[in-house]
Amino acid sequence: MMILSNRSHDRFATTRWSVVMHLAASPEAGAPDALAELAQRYWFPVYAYLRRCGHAPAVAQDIAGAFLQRLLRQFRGGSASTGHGHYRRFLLGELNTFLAGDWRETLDENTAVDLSPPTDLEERYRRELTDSASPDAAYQRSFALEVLARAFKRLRSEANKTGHLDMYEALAPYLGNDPPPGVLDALAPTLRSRPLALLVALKRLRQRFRELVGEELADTVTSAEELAAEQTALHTVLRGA
Amino acid sequence: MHFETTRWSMVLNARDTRGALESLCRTYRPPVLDYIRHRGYATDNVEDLAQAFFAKFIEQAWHADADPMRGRFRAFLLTALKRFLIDADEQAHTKKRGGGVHFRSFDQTTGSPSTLDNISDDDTPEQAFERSWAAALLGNAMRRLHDEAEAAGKLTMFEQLREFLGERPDEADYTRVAETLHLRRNTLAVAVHRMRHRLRELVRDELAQTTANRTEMEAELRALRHSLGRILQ
Repeated sequence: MMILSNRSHDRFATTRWSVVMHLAASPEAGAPDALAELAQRYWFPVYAYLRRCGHAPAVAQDIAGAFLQRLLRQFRGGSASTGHGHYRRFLLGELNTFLAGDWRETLDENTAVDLSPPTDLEERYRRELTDSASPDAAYQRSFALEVLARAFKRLRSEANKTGHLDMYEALAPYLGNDPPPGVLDALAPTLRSRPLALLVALKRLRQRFRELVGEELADTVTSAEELAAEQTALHTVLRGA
Repeated sequence: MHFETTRWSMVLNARDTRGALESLCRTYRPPVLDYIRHRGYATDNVEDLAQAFFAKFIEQAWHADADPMRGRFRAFLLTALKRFLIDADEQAHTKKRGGGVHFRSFDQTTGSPSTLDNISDDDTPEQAFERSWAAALLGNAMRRLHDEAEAAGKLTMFEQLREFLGERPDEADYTRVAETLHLRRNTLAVAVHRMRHRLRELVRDELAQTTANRTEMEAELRALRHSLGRILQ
């Protein structure tokens, strides 16, 4: 549990979702860009939700694109209500409102916002969401998986920058579970290290991974309390799988 | 959803009872016909039996105040129908086959199901009743969706999209219809999703018309989920 200090307060003042929330009233001041960045990051849960509603891959992508465009347009036009709370809930709430709109209303097709869908959505959907859960459950799980995926990506990138990519690649499979006996002994010679040093490195990687997950989640909340709640929610969703 | 104004609630509360009950009976006439037909009565007797049943049912329905089935119109109607047919059989027996009721032999499959194409003669009478009920309910919801589209001047769009309601369309279908309607494909995809959503709302509203409260409605939704099929996912 984090302690709410002035420092952590300051920290949340600059997270993406805080920027969106605080600047919602004056959309020209950077909030749309922060929201666009979040929308781009969390495309996958929206896609997973729509796939689980039964839409074909390209159709789910079409609807997700239309939804995110509409969300950003509304925000730029100052007509979006961000309400309160974290981004995960906001996004799903907005998605449900959008999908439950009147089918007879024609979407505004003229003011496009620059958004490009990730290219691996369907591949990830097939690989990571193999159960037959409801659209809501698919959304929650894929949101959590996106947080982890982003943290992994940053961890790898940091290892690359410090010249430890080979060690990262060798140890990454054991971030979640301890390596079976003998594995570190076997790895040590190829990494020109000692088993004990690898064990220490693995612990540091885990610690850094937890920090990065926290940083990713911090971008979707506005306070330390919300961050703690989101961390709990993330663990609950991942354990339930 | 306000259950005090649904038709079956009005019947139970004895407000405008007869009108509400007659309206329900009109909607759910096909499942009664299908049930009687699947019980093996001769085709030319089915209409007469149904007519006699509804006349009696409408006269007597609201007196059955202690019936545990009354929370759900479907179960209540079916129970009444079974009782009615037992009485009818007894009367026919008394008349020693001289009465108006004749059984058809089971190897004859005369007549066709009145509502759903997929009502099979292998169904039990109860299964036929349930499927036919779901079809009548869905038919009513579709009619309302059609009327809403007409009122909004979107009948062409409705006609083009309705084929997407029962089955999941593939990408080629979207592209084809989008071209016909001069819309972008994502606009069309959103419209289809929303239209399905609206249809589900209307189905739930139709279910509410035949139940006394939310608990009964949820139970009815579970009971009919199989027959309603993919409309409800």
